[in-house]
Amino acid sequence: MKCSFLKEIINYDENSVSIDTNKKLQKHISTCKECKEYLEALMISKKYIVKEPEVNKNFYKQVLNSVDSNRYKKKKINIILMQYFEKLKPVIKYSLGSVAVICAVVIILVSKALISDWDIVGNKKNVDYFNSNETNLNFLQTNGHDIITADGKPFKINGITLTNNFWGNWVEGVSEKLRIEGKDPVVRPQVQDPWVLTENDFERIKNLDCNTVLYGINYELFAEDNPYRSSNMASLKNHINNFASMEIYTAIMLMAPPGLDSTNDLYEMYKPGSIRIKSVFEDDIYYSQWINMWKYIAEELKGFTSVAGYGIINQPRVPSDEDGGIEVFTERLNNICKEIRKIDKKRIIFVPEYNSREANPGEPYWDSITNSYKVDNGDQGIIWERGFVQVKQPNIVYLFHFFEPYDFVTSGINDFDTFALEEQVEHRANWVKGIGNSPMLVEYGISRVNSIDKRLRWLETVHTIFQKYGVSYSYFHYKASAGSYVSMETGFNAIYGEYINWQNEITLKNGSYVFNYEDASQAAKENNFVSALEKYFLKDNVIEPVSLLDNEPIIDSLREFWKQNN
Amino acid sequence: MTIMKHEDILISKILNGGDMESFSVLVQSYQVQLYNFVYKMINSKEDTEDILQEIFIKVYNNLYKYNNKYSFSTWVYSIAVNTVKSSYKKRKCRPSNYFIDNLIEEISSSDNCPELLIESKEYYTKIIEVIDNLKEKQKTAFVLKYLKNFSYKEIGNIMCISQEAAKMKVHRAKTILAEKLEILRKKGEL
Repeated sequence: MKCSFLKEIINYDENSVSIDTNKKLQKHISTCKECKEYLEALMISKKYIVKEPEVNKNFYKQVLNSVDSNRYKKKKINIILMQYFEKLKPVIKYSLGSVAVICAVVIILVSKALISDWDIVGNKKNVDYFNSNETNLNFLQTNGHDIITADGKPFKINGITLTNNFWGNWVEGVSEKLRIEGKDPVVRPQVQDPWVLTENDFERIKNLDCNTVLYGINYELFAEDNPYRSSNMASLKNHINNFASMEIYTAIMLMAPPGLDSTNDLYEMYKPGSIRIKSVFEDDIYYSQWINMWKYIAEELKGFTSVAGYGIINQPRVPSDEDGGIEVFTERLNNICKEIRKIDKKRIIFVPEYNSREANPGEPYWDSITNSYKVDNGDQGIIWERGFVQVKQPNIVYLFHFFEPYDFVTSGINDFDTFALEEQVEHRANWVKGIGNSPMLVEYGISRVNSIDKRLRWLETVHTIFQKYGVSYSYFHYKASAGSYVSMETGFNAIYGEYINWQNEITLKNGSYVFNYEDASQAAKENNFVSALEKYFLKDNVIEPVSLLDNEPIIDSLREFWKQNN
Repeated sequence: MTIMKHEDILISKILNGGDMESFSVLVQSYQVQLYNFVYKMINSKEDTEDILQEIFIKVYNNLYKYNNKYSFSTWVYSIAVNTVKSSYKKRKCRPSNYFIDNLIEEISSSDNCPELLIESKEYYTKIIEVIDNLKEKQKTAFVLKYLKNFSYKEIGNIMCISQEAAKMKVHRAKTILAEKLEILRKKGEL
């Protein structure tokens, strides 16, 4: 090795190198051919290692056929018998004559156990558990203005949305850099966080009495280059099966597509269009990643009858005319539905309304930095305007979000007006009538910034409206992480809060608690978390990480509403 | 990771009553990644499926021995590593014909990386041959490091060596890569 730096670079360990060393190395690499070549070779090696060759999907069947399926059934019996023997030991000792009796008992027990095993095996249907689900829930379809079950009965989606923390987490060593660059610092997960859906969550959701969950995902989970893709799919199938066993449909909702999504947009919307992250409608690579992800999911889940449908994208934005405008937006929404249909002909597809569009030169838009109207001069400012485009396919349900009036629902500013709310739903209902009467699904919710009474009043009002217009609905949302750095009021819509990070943030001491560091203590005060912590999470000097907060009346109201419409 | 939580449930269902559906899910969540691991270790399509099958049978038959001192994936990979090792012995010599053409094609064409100076297929093949010809233990540690981003501690547990030894093996593999590049450069093959 000629270059003296190369040894250092070989030693380089991403996790332990200091910033200064990193800078020094980066500078060197930009000028040294030898080091550069080595790093390229290392990158190629990594890519080669990660790249998964094609595997015979039915391979697992060979494995299942070659193991002894009675192995652990027998084991259980053996354990029972051994325990039985242990209990009988003193008796054996004193009475040899009883050995014959014991033998007889054992023979009866063994044969009984074997027969019952045989019964289980013999009667068991040969279920291909991994490629379909055996459930009473059959494919949902659309029929005019209704969603219907396989036997033709109208079905209202009484849903609750599981966001599954799709936006991700603060990642040490990455997030801070992103924040400094003015980008969304939260990193979308490659593997779903374990806390989002535990066994207790399944139990809680079961007790809610909803008939559908809207299951949020982000693109990265099922991206082709994610080495965990197949285990993520296995986990998703497990979740779908768990819900099906509770008679709950699962709708798969893509909350964060590749590129621009509703969360990183909070950082991008202030930037001019030229430097803003592109959306799947503007960028061809993101577009093909988006399509490939849905093709993969559609292929994997096509046998699952309890999958209610696919929500292809969340809160999309129409690009400016320069980037193709409403035409490219309509074309790509239509195309992705076509691609899914090629694989899965039966599935409902949820097509959302756009929640905004980029301005074209000459159009006025509201500039939230200066708080004034500005005339667009090619900077592609955001116009918060909503609308549907038609997808010319059967089995489409149009989806809209309903957080209205926005300032009231999210920040508790002013109050709501029943007529204005109804007008908005009516407007959408008229649009679907205009294209031939398709079903609709609304996603709605209200944050804790409003008092429980106000929240209930709003909920009852919108429920009456939804019922009048015959739309399906999903409450947004089931559970979110709580903690010092999460506002417990503004924007906190979740019914349950889970204090994920409590062991890092606080220490329990003598019947009370202390924050482990000043920053957390300060943030907790600012985010109204101190009172939430004391009221909901700290019980008798023990932390109960999952809390219903003050949302019991909300759950009751939802249950009541769902019951009426079941 | 969510899958870990699920794995625990699945394992308990298998051990308590022999639930084959749970075993089926377990196999399916590992079959792609383990296939990849075995394939990268032995470079033979024919043998990969046989070895993989052997691994899963061992996992199943020994499942009652698994305790959660280590993560399940560490345990599974340690079985995989040992099975691959004994397959080397059985076959005595390693196959000389490579079936990596398709993969090279795919990784080189998926490259949108402008920093790459040389993108030719031959170049990729040469690099990958260096990795494939590493000594067995170095290659195992290197592949585990990048396949699943295992920590050195985990690699140590999988290979039954110390954390430091695992780190050394990866380091040695990287050094060999650098040295081989220099030889190729001298020969004018780069």
